[in-house]
Amino acid sequence: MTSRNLCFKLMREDIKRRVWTIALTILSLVFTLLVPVAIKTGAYLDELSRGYSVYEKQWWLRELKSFVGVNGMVIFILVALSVVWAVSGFRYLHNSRQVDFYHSIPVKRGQLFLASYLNGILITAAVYFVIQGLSTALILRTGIEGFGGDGIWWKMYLLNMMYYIMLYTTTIIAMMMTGNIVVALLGTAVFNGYGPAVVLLVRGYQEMWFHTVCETAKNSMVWIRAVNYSSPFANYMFALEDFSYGRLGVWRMTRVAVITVVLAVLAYALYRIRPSESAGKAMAFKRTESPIKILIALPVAVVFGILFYSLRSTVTWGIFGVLCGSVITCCLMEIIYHFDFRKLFARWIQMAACGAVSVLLILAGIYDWYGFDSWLPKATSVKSATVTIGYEENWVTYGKPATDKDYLGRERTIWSYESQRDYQYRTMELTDVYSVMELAGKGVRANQEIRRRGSQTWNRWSDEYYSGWKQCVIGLRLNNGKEVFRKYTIPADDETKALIAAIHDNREYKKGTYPVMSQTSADTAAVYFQQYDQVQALETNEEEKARLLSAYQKDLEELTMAVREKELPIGTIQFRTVELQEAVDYYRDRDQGDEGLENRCYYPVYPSFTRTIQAVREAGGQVEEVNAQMIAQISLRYKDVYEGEDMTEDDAARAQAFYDDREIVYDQKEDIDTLSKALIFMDYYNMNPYYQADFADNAHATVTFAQVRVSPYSIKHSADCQIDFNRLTQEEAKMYGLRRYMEESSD
Amino acid sequence: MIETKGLTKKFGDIVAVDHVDATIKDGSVFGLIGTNGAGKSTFLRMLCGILKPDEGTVAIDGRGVYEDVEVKSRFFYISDDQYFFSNATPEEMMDFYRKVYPKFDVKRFHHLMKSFDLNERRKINTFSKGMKKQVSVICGVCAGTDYLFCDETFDGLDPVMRQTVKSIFVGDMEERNMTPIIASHNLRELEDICDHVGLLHKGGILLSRELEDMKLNIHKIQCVLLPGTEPEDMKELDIMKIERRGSLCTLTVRGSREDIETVVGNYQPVFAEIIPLSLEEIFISETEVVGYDIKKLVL
Repeated sequence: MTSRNLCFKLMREDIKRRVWTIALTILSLVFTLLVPVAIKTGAYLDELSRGYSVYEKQWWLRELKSFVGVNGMVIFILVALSVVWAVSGFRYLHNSRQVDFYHSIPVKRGQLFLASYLNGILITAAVYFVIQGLSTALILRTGIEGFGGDGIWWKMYLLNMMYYIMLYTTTIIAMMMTGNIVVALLGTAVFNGYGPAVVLLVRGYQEMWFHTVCETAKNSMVWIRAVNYSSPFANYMFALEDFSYGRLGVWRMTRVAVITVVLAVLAYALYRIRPSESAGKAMAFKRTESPIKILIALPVAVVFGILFYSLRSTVTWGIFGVLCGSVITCCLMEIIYHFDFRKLFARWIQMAACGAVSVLLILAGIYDWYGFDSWLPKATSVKSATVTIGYEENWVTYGKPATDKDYLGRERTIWSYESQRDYQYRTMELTDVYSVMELAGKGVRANQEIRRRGSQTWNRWSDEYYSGWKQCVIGLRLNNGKEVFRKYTIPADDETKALIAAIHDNREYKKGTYPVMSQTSADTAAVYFQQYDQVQALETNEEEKARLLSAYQKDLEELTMAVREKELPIGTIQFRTVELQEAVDYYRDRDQGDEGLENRCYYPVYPSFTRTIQAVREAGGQVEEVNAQMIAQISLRYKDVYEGEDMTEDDAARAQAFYDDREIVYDQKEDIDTLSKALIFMDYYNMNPYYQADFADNAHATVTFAQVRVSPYSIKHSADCQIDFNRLTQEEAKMYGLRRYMEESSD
Repeated sequence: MIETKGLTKKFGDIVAVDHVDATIKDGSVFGLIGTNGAGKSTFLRMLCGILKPDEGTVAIDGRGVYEDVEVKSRFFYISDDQYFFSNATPEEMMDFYRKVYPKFDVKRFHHLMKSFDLNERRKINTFSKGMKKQVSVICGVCAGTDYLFCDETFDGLDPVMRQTVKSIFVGDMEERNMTPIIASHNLRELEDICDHVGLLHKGGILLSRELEDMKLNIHKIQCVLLPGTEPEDMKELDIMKIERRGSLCTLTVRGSREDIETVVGNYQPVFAEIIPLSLEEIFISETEVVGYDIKKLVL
């Protein structure tokens, strides 16, 4: 009898033993795929007879495609089936009677393995193929346009089957390594969940104790990649996402196939060396017990440590958590290994070692024994630097239009965002690193102080400190080619402010912060000037465009912190790039919403930007500061006011009145004249948070403009404002019921 | 011929089989005796390639057993609790076995099933323990293998069925030189069938001898000696044991029958007769010599 014949015979025999698994496979796939498709196609045909719009057609196409495409239910079923088939195929290894039977017959273990292994794949593959094919046929029968051409059904079939085999093989490895089905299922969970959990734990550990660690696009990709490759299941989930965006290539699938083959070879090798007497035991290979226990106990202990440390932020509780986690995990593992509760302290030396290592890990984090947060290179070893100061410049639009495909594979234009930090790191080259290193040094010292205080979270972010702290991200390019990012929380004292001002006023900082500084007139399609409620398209020729751009770049370059503390923008200007114009036109041609593309990339124009203002005027634009004539009404919306025992009757009456009305609309000239001089337009304030305003705390204003001036680009009829106390007399403030925060509290 | 050399198997700290050297000749019945936990099943599971020895070798006609399909096709293993597929009938089991044992005799299977009055189409899980044993023995003998490893196979069979099975074994031994290797904790069960007996104790083989050899060298004499003569006076005899009941003495003596008869005759006994020894008695005598109390071990 040839080996191949015997293998086929064994497969046939194996099928006889697993009829229930086949039935389960058929039933589950029929009810999660074929039946829903039949119901949905029937509904579609009913809809069709009533007629439908283009939009509805796309919706139907998407709906029907989703059944044979990325279908969550089918994926769930296939994952479950991979476990069921693996367990049913090799469960005999966990029963000594069955092991004696199978291993005493004159059949090579390799053939026994192959027969069960292949059945688990081929039967599911055949059943799924038929049901996926029938579902596709049902959808095709409806005659819906746009379906089938992209081969989504067979591509999805191949993808799902490849990952089914991978997950199935992983579960088989768990079956090989254990001698009990429950332990094997736990093992499968470990194989699929341990990797992502450890990656998340490392990240949590880092976030907890590496105070200066900084996330960049580069290192966040490392985390994502780490999770992606940390387990077969995680990899499957990422592959599905990539598939839905059309990003899954042949090379990636080839890698999956190779990994699956490696896993299959590993499963086979384990089958060959697996001792038959391990049936019924927790673990098939005794020598794997300790490493697995340690690998599980250490992360769990650290998780417990982090958890308890988070509750009270003291070393004692941190160590308590670690020891609890370590002891509980080690005991639990020993109980599982021996199936005997009394063995919970078996191998107590390992338990003690685990606890000790975990305590060291926690203490290393708490006291920064790694020296991560205190690391600071010498200024001479730094080639250049980049600095991101808080969120002050988050009004700047980074990124550019890009083309993408939606889930139906249609091309579309989207805004491809880039983070401020990434842009700054890419473009900023601060060669005068003195201020940067001083700032970093302050950050390091502040961090050491925070740790000295016990690293208590509320100490770091309490009201007492919050307003007085500044967050800076500093990127250093070292002479040896190394690139380092650190995020510092620095006390916002005068020294810090002076250092930040020095960095801000540096032209290299401007060049690395504002994309418009690198723009050329050749890149520029059009120029728009916006003030309050009106957008003006400046009709410019190439020369005027260049002049405008150059004027603005010069003004922006010379903008100092001192100016920003005193001035607010009076308008904004957009140098619309050719790419952006094309994207706007793309949507305009298709009569679709442009997702706010037109409003991106506006820059502030300060009163001191005389070159820009003059150039705008020369280009036919109107520039005027807000005045009462422009405003039809100002509505003040009051928040709840303080009603303490020490409140005067007058205050209480006024507060009650405000409380009852909540919103008061002022449309008389005198009121508008008084209030308009104190208005701070939030759109402009958001572009300059350095401005030293003194806001009324109990009310904010909404300005309604007098008329919409004739302009096709007019986009606003009203604007949100705050009231600046500095521009009102005390009587005026009292008259309108406006209060400062401190006043309110001191009442 | 099956030969084991230094065969050792440990389960953690427990040494189940400890450096066992044994030779099982073809065409004879090898009985493996031992208490529960003596290592009989482990020994058999190593013989049929289920367990891999930690030390030592198992060879059938010089070829290792583990993972050698050709060698494994020469034996059939009946475990003490034989596995049958869930909801399977004897017919379905036969169907499976005939695929893996090329010499499986289907005709004989049907014949034996009928003879044992077992329904081939009835689910095995509805059979009694004894009926399951019968099915496994029938499958074993029909597999047509040279060796049949039986682990406590007779345990659970009624006396009639036990004799029937023994007679089938004897028939197969005569017809096709089949060699049964039977492990049991009960000496009496093997007495009338074994040619060679190995006694396993605490993983080690205490004794391994041909039954005939043992019988030829040990004899039991019942005699009434002349007044004034004591059995101890017969210095020429290698007396292993003396029992007295009045003037009737029963002696267990090592030596050939002729020599013993001559020596006893010289003392002109009133009455003397050589009577047969049971396997149990032979074992008691032999193991007592090496310092073991067989009664505690297997009886």
